[in-house]
Amino acid sequence: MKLSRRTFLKLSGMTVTAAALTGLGFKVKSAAAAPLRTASAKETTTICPYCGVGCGIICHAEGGKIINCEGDPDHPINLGSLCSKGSALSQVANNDLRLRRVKYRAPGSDRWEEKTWDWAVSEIANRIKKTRDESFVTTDAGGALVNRTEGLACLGGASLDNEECYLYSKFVRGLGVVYLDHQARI
Amino acid sequence: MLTERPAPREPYAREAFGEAIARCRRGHESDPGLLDLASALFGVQAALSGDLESDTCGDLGAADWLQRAAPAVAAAVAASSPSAPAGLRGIAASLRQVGADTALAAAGGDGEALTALSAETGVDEPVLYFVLRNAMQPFYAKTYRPEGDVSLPYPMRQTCPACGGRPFMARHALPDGHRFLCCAACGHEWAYPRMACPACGQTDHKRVEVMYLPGSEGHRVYLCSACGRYTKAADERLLGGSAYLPLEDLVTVHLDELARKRGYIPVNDKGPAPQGAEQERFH
Repeated sequence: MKLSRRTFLKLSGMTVTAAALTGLGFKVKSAAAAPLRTASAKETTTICPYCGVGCGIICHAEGGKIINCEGDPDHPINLGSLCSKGSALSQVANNDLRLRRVKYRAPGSDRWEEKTWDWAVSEIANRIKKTRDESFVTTDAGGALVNRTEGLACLGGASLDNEECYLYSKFVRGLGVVYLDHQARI
Repeated sequence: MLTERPAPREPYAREAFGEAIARCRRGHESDPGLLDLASALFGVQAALSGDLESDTCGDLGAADWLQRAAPAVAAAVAASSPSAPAGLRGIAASLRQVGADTALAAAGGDGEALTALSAETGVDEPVLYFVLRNAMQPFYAKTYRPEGDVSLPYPMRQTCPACGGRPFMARHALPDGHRFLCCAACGHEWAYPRMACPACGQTDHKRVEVMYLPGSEGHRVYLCSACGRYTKAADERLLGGSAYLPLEDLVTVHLDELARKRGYIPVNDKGPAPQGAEQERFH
């Protein structure tokens, strides 16, 4: 392949390598000669939702679907390592058994009903308010002001991060909840 | 279990090259002649590097080194190429003829110097540049040493911490995929974040696309829509062993072509991205 001087000046390192190989007589595998089917993916960082360690993960997605998950080597917590659950994280997203809609089983019922998210959030809010109102204690037996509810208990999840725990704690303390605990035991 | 962060690999790592070339030969995907060329290049560069290490070269300057190394590299390239230009055999005399400054400028990629040398030798500029660049690399590898701890990805360095050159390719190292960039000029490696563009340093993952050929996922191209540049990467976990980047570069020139067809330019290209690049496609 004979390149004009002007053409060469426009070329950059990698392309020069291909041109050099051609100039030396090699048949460089050409995308034009034999159209190569390419695939493309996006890499996105996320945090593992399973436990309180909070390992960093890089998710590979092709066409909006997660095809692979790997530990983020630059994450200060796990430096690229993952446990067996974290390594299988893509199975959370790609799983026929995953619940995608709200299911409700009424007290005493033997079947699940499909509900909307709006219905579920309203129902939870109504029940919390009802329970709180019924069990709210303003003063204790000694007459001290306590303003608490003894009918509700809240349990935080291990995958909540620092800020989520703060908001969750603020919210339920505001309701008057005193039975507040966390499930993480690591 | 957490593992130690891997260290950057020294230039001309014999074990890594041995593993990589054996893998390529087993795979039957690469032109055997190309692998012979890679072997010949590695052999001559490692020998030249050994000369420098053993101080048999005394205090040779860059121009003297080029005069000494270029004929050896040219001979190795000519011996393992199907139709090497005859002018390569007389490269020593041609280098003397054009003078030290022009010869060194040509090795650095200067267009005018390469043109002058091409007229003298009758060899195309890309072939000349290929030979001279590979001849100078052992010298730069010995002359420049990385400063500071380059096994950590921060602070981010888009240029070589040893010589200031630009990277030509990335390696995702065993066992956990830590990314190392390799300098096109001196061959030294340094750590770089996985989720940052090696050309412009931007860290928005939405602006980076990963392109590969199905069945050859070990070689990938990272396309950055922010700066219009691409970076080839060899993932040792998917390749099943060590990657030797100068070799991986030779066997993946088709990926360069694919990336350029989409309007991207190489990571070490200082110029502006060509017009019509698919920039900001993902916004």
